[in-house]
Amino acid sequence: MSKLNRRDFFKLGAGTIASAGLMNWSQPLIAAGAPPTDYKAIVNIFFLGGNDGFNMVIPRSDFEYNEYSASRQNLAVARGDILPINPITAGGPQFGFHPAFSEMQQLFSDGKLGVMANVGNLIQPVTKGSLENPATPRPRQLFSHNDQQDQWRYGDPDTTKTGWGGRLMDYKVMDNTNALLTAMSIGGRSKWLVSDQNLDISIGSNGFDRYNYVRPDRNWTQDRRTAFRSLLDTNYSNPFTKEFSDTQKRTMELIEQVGDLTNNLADFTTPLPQDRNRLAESLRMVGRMIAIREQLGMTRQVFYVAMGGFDTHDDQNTRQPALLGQISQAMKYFYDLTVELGVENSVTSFTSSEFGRTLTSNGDGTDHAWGNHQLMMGGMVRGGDIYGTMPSLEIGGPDDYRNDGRIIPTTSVEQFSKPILDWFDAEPAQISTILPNLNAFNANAINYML
Amino acid sequence: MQIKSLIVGVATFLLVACGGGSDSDTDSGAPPPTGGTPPPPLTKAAAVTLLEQATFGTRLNDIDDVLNRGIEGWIDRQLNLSPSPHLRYYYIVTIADNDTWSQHVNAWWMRSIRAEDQLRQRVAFALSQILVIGQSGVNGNGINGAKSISNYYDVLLINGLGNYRDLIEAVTLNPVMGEYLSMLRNEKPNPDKNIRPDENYARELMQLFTIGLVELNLDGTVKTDAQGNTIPTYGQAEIEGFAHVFTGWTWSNMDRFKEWREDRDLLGPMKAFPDFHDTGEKTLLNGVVLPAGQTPEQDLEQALDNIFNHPNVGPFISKQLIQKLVTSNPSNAYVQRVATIFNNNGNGIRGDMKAVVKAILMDNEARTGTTSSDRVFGKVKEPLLRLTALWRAFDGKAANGIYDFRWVNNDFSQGPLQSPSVFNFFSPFYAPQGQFKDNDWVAPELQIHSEGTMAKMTNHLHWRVLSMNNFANDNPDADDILINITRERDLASDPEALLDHLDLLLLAEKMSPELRQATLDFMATYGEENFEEKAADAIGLIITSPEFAVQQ
Repeated sequence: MSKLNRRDFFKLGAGTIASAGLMNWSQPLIAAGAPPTDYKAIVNIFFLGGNDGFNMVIPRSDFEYNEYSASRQNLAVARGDILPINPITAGGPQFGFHPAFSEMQQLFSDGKLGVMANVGNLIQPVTKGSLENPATPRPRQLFSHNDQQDQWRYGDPDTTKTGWGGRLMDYKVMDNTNALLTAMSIGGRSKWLVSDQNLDISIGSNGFDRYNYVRPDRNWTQDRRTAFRSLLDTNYSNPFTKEFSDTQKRTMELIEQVGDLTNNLADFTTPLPQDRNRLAESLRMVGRMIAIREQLGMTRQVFYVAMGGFDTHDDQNTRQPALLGQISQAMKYFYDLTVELGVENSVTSFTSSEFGRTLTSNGDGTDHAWGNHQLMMGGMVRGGDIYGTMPSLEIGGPDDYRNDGRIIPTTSVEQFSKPILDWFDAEPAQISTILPNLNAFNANAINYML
Repeated sequence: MQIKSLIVGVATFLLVACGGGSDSDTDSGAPPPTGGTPPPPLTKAAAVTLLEQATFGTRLNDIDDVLNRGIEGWIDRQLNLSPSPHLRYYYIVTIADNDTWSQHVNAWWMRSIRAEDQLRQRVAFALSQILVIGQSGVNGNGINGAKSISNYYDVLLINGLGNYRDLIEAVTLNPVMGEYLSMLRNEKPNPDKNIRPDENYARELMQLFTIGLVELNLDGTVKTDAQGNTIPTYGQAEIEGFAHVFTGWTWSNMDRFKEWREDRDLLGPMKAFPDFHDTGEKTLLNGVVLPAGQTPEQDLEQALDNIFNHPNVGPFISKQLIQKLVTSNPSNAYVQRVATIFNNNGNGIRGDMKAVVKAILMDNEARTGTTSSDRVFGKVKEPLLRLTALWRAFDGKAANGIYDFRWVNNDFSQGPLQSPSVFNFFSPFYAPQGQFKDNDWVAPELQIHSEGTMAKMTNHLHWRVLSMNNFANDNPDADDILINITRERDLASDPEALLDHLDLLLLAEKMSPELRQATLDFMATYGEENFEEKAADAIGLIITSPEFAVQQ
């Protein structure tokens, strides 16, 4: 595998898609070979809008809490409400979780959840001092949602227009019988999974819908089905028509060959959170795909799941606790589900968000900022600890970019992502392609995987 | 056959038009093209192509209307029809049920399907995906919430064919936008409490509604500096300047700034409380600094002037409107011709939207489908526009006169004013991997056509055609929206004639031989009779075909 150059990947990638049935109706998508012996999946849980991580992980020690409270004013969580956590690496200030994070508190103390402190998009290591020089490189369009989402997903400030999840997929498709199922987004197309060489797919959290009026298993639909399908086999010269047709055809094939496998699964015994929780529903769909991994011949899979609503410019004290409560319940649900499926040591989840939020308020909400805390979860995560460097939360302090509470990241997204790639058996040469800017940083500063 | 020979005629003309050069008429943006190329013959197919770009779908009598008035005459009449406001829906229809908050969707259907001012409605729909509010982010519940959303749409409807400067002011002061992007109750700084003005509206007004992130040339291409880098249109200092401008505003019927009441005015423009407005200097675009001590209204007027006069607005808005109405990858020259009209309508007026819309539709590129050699003309239709086209083509309506279909998003991944965020359902920059990315083409609408959504859309359209037509459903409920395919049933005894009819009505006579043959073969499986089924399935096959999903 490591001997392949990118040109060979392209051939193999394209061939793998074809043999998976993408271009050929007649070939079954189901693996015929022996089940793989080793399975790994990574799940990127993206909080769209910019989660306020400095209210998710909160200092408890006297000095640090007072600094936090003075900065955050009416947005500060009351000290007595903070849920204590006790990191393995003791000494230094104490921390805790937001009161809506009780499930996460439990998982942290069980050693299955870790905290990555103050991570963000960077081009090179920076300090408040170095940033005062306008020539010091920093991400383009800091504080803009889509630009910072893009940089996080591309893993590259030069916007190569492929995602680092997609580039990772390129190195793993040949490990899977069904290349097309290597990279999946639940609930919308994700730039994180885009590759130049292989296709990613996007499905809904309820899985696969049948084409009701052109079903393969009803006599009364057969003539219509023949006509409908013949249009998807037509060779369209117009690229819009061709792309639409290819997507329709691919969808129909997926539904007919994978849909039954997921739709026929028995319900999981792990209960969904009681209140409607869309993130948990998306993660349940990830669980369903993992549950049929052996039938499909999958050994390495990359999943993307997104949750919206984090752009709390307004009414943050009402909105954020609800959001954090949903995260806590959904992530705990998913961890329990991996235990039910016997894959808790084969699945590693991590959170992302385009930026953190201002420590200062705009009255009852916050604005776009930079550094932010994130989470890692799974049986192979060295949980129960805080990684990286906790910043000062003082307004105008050493980590405050513009003296209004926008915290400069102390760890880059690349550094945060690297341990997961190592665990996923990406080789060093591959990692340098997947995270081309990693070498601007100390690549091995962070390791939270067992 | 007469119609086939007509197709040959059009094809011949297109070849001539290619040679004539679609990029030459930079001044007026209006046909006829220069260089001696004759104006396109006004065929029925050419009329349908216009109607696909300018309405929610083609009806047979619309084709005659275009033929009678001519392209320019039809556009002029449409531009000057008085608006059919959505808010009036609530006075036409008696809202009986409790689930009233989503009635704005039903108002949208009624206007989009039946209103006479189709072009204005279509432009408003395009603008509703540029100046975005999303129902899920709007606080108003119940009937007042629904009315407030329809009222916001009316702001786009009325000002969308007015002046863009007035449009952005009306949007800025609209209380629903005020709540959605949190300008409402944004207050001056309070350093003791670490409070600074909310930057949300300041940022999205510039990034999404007017100028975008980077400096543009008049033709919509990105400007670069000597090092080849893009040039940001603003930095954080300007964001903060505008954030300070937009302080001190709340609902019009409040007596105090901090007041909240259930009966807050969600319709009228917000009003300012000077005590809560920041009176310091404010840094705006291009080095302009507003002086200290101005009123909220003075600051707002001057700040909106500052944005409106930024050279990006013309190309930024013109290109997006072209993409929504005509083609995803317009030639640079096409964008430049329209942006030139945006900057000056010929009478010294900037931002005249009637002139802009007319320039978009009258342009030779829109009319002939020829574009620069490195582009491909046309676009994928927005999913909702496939359903509106079905209902308009076959007179879809319910006995009770209402279009009660609110949960549009579930099946179409798109709904009027139901975007999940201010970034709309899809990005104008979305490009699928493969030939689109390789060629630097975009296909924005394809972002919501995925493995997770295609079956839902197809199922819904199949159901609307096959189960909800006047023959299949002969005992409808009062709110069942049925299409009427009697005309097509009567044509079905002559399959070729039915296909000619559907080719014109649904595909502007661009149907491929493969689609034609597949439809004929399918109809033949029904044997000699079964004309109702033949007609319904012929329509169903075309409506769900890849060709109908694309506008060329």
